[in-house]
Amino acid sequence: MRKWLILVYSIAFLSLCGIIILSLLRSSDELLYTIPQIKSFTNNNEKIKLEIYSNKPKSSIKYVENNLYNLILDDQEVILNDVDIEEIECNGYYLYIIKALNFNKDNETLISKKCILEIINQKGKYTFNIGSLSILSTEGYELIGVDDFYASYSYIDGNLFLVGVNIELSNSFKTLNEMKIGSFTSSINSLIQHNKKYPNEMNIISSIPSYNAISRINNENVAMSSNIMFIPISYTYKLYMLKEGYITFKIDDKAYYLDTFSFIANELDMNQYKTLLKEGEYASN
Amino acid sequence: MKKILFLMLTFTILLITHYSINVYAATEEYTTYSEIMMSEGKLLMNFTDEEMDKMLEEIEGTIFSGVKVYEENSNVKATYISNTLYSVENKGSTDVTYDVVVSVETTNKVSFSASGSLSGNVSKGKSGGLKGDIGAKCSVDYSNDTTTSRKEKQTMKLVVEANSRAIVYLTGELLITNGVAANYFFWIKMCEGGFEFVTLQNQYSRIEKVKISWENGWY
Repeated sequence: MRKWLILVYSIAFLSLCGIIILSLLRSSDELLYTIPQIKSFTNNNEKIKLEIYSNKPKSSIKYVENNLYNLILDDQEVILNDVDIEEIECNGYYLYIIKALNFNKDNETLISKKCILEIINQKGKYTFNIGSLSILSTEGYELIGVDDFYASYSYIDGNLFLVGVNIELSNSFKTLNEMKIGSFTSSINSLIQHNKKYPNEMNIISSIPSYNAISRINNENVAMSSNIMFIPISYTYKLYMLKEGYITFKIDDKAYYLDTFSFIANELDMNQYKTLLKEGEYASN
Repeated sequence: MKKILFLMLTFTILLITHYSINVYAATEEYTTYSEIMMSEGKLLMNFTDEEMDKMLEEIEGTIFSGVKVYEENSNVKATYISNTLYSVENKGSTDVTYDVVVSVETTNKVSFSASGSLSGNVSKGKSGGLKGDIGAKCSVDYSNDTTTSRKEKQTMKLVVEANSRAIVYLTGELLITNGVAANYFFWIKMCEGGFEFVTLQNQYSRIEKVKISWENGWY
C-alpha cells in the first residue's frame, strides 16, 4: 500500500514538474508581429520606418550587429546596410521601430505590392509581412501648395482606416485627373465632395453611402469647381493600414506631389489592431 | 502600553509622510495642449472651489481602508489641438520651398493628473498604486505599462506661398474621466482631491496656411 502511495505521489510530482517546465518554456517563447501597411516615402526622406511588435523585451531582432536585414520587394532583394532600431515599451508589449537610413541611394522609383522583411542571424531567419511599399523619385513632379491638409479615418470591420483626405489647394485649377497616396490607393473622383471637409474621425458610410474601400477605379476627370475638397480614396490592392505616405496628383494633365506626411503621428497600438496582426514566421538553421 | 505607543508612533509617521507632500499638482502632457473641447462637462483645472467642495460631499463618510471615488465625467469624448509643431512665415513676394523638420512627441496613452492632497500621494508612486486603484474604480486601465512619450523627427518639403504662414499641428480624440477621490487607512482620511484620466485615442497631423495681412499687424 505504501509503495503504491509513493508511486502515485512520485507520478503526481513529476507531472507537476513537467507542467511547470512546459509553461516556463512556453512563456519564454517570443511572438513577433507586424501590422501590414501601405508605406510610401519620397526620395526626399532620409529613412524608411518599419515596425515590429513583440511580447518580449530585448528581442534578438534588435541587435543590428548580430542580424542581417533584407527587404524582399516582389522579386527584388535589397540589403539594408544602415539600420537603427529603437525599442519602446507599450501597453503590455514592445514595439521595435526599424529605421533604414539611406535606403534608396539611387533615387529610383520603387513599387512593391508585397514587401517582406527578412531578419537573418546565426540561429535562423524571421520573415515578416510589411505590406506594400513605394518610393517616389520626385523628379518631374512639382510640389503642390496646400492651405489646409489632413486625413479622415473611418471604422471598417472594427478597424480605423484612412478613407479620404481633406484638402484646400493654395491655387485654383480646372480639372483633377487623379490623386493617389503611395501607389496602391486611388481617389474616387465620382464621390469627391466640393466645399466640404470632414473631421479626423468620421462614419464614411453614413456620409457617402456608395463608398467602397476596396475597388479598382477607372477615374474620369472631375471639374474642380472649388479648391476645397474631400477626396475619398479606395484601396486598389488590399485594405491595409495607412499611417503615412506621399500624395501625388494629376491636375490639368500635370504631375504634382505633397511630400511624405504623417496622417497619424502616434505609433499604432497593437491591442487596437489585433485582427490586422500578422505573425512573423521563423525558420531555424 | 509599549504596543499602544508603537501604534500611535506609526500612525503619526504615516500622517506626516502623507500630508507633508501635498502642495503641488501633478501635470501631464495634455495640460499643455492649446485647446481641449469636451462634448460635455469640463476639465479638472476648470472646476471652481465651490464645485470641488460639492463633489467632495459625495464621498463623505469613512471606510476602513481603500479609495472612495466620485466620477463627475465618465469617458466623455473630447477633441484637442496641440501646440504648433512647426511654423514658418514667408514674407517675400515669391513662393519658397522649405525643408520642414517637425519634431512629433507621442505622449502617454493614458495621462493622469490630480489636485489637493491627492496630488502629492499619487505623485510618489508609479502608474500603479493609488492611481491604479482610482483607475480601477472608474474602469480606466491605468497600469504600470502605459506607453512612454518619445520624440520623432519628420522631414518634409513644403511650399509656402508669398505672404503666407504655414503651421503644422496635431489634433485628435480623447476620452476624459474626472471627479474626486479620497484614500482611507484605518478609518483615517489620508488624502483627498480631484483626479483626471485622459486617454489618448489618436494623434492626427494637420497642415494649415494663412495669408499674412497688414490688418493682422503681423508685419
